[in-house]
Amino acid sequence: MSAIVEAIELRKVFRVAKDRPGVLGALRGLFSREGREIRAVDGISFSIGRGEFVGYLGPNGAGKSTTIKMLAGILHPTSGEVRVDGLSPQRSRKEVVRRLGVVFGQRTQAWWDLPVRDTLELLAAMYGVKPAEYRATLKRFDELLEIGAILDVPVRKLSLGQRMRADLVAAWLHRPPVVFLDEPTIGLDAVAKRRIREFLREVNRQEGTTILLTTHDMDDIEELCSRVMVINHGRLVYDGDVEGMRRAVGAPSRMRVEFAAPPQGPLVGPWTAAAQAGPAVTVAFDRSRCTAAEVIAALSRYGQIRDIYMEEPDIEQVIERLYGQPGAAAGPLSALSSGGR
Amino acid sequence: MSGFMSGLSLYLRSVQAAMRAKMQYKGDFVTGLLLYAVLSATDFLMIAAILTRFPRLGGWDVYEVGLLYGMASIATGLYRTLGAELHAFERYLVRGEFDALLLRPRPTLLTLLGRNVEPERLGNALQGAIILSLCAHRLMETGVLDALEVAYVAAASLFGTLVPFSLALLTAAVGFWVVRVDELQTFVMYAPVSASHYPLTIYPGWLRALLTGVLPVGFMNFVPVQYLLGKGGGPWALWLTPLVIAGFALLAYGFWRLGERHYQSTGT
Repeated sequence: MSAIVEAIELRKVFRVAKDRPGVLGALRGLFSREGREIRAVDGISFSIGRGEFVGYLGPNGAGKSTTIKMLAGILHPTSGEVRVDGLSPQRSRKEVVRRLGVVFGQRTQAWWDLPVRDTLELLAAMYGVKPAEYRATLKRFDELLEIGAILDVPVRKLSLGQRMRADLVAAWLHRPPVVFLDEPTIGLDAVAKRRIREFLREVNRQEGTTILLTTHDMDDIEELCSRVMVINHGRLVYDGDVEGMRRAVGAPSRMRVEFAAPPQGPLVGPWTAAAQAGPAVTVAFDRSRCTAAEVIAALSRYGQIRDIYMEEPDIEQVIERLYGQPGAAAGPLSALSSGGR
Repeated sequence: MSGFMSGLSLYLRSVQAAMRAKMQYKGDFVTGLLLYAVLSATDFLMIAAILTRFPRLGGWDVYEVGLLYGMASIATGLYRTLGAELHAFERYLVRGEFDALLLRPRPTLLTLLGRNVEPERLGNALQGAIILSLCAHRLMETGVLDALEVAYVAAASLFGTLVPFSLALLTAAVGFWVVRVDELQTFVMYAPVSASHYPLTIYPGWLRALLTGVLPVGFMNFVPVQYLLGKGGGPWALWLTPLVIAGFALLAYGFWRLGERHYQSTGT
């Protein structure tokens, strides 16, 4: 898989100047070196292959938006390099943004007082989309997102979900090979979320669009992403698949086992906790220490097993554990973060 | 060249869209046009009032000063019409809206200007054009100016739009470092432009140097008009004027491009 988005030792340090009022204050701020430094992104590297669907996670202020903005050419890194389709967004901004679609969930790029169609037509002209392609794209997206009905409605009259659909079409209009999505499902109801996820899955598979998605919605990640990157305090603390992230955190998997007859005696095995209710036993175990097969083998010594239910840790719990550990950035997770491809 | 044409056509499309959005609120336009015409005309009434008390201001009579005033009004009126978003640029920095401009495959300045125009500000330019015509007419009658010289004044008025535009561009670009630029923009724009309503010879030398050498508002009207009215300078004033203005505009744009690299966006 060839890389389409690359970050090499990316770093962004903001210098926060003291805020001074007035014209003179503003001028003084221009020349003063006072203030403190904030390392928003502190040396991260990754490589995203063509057609990948990557989730980018992290608590607020971890550096997610700053990273995306550097990838998109909005911010210039303090040091390090970005490559999008082999080009630097900082040196070749216009060429790179032609290959990009970007959606910020919290603010629309559409013309507020005009029908959606006006914004789309302007964008088509801006990106040099031919009329025939434009019509074909609209038709295709009408099938996926049913935007036909909202094309002639002024953007200010759209619901949040409708507006997001319009923004998605706007981002895909010039058929970019790479799309960055920043919280596309924020504030949407379940139906709207599902529709947008279906759309994203579809364009990722059918069009081969490479997607980098930041979200707080764990269902987005579970349902869409083949890979997750987790950032905290400006550093990548995990890069790999969702399963591996669960393992890395050591969030307990649970197994509920039903015995033919209630097992006797204290249950001893590789699990971290066990609870018994008649013939049913629930054990919690750490997947980084033992496998499910080992747990079953250990349990089977207590009698004949009739049924087994697995409960994987909720990704939400995983993330909570990940963020909850202040030392996580430099801790054991770093060793596991080589899971990326 | 084809890049320029496609940029221009895109700009016009964008402006059309902006106008359509504006037409949602139709009544505003006519009211605004009249309001700005009347408001700015009061500026000139004040100058005229001064000139009735002191018939000659630094050796200039009311028609001659009217020429300066008319040129400055046309230039600033056109700038306020076409440069509406530049004039309100702080918002783009404070709210991080500049992000969206950087995401488009066009020069940011072009995308910015296309997002809004304020045609009601033409009232200001219109008012300036009327005063300019009246004064030019009178000066032709008295034989001070000939038709060619009046044509030069008209062309210079339009070209002079680049002066307030470049001042705004320069100060907007300062915003890439300091973010809050509303006050700075007002200060750098209005003081010099108001000063340019009068012949610069009435000011002390340092101020005159500032208004020609540093902020070239003098080239918007005073420098060429002074020569055309036979009050000083030389024929060089006529060709130097467009050169200085174009040079200043290029400088301002260069500074803008530099500033873009320092844009810090906002927290989220």
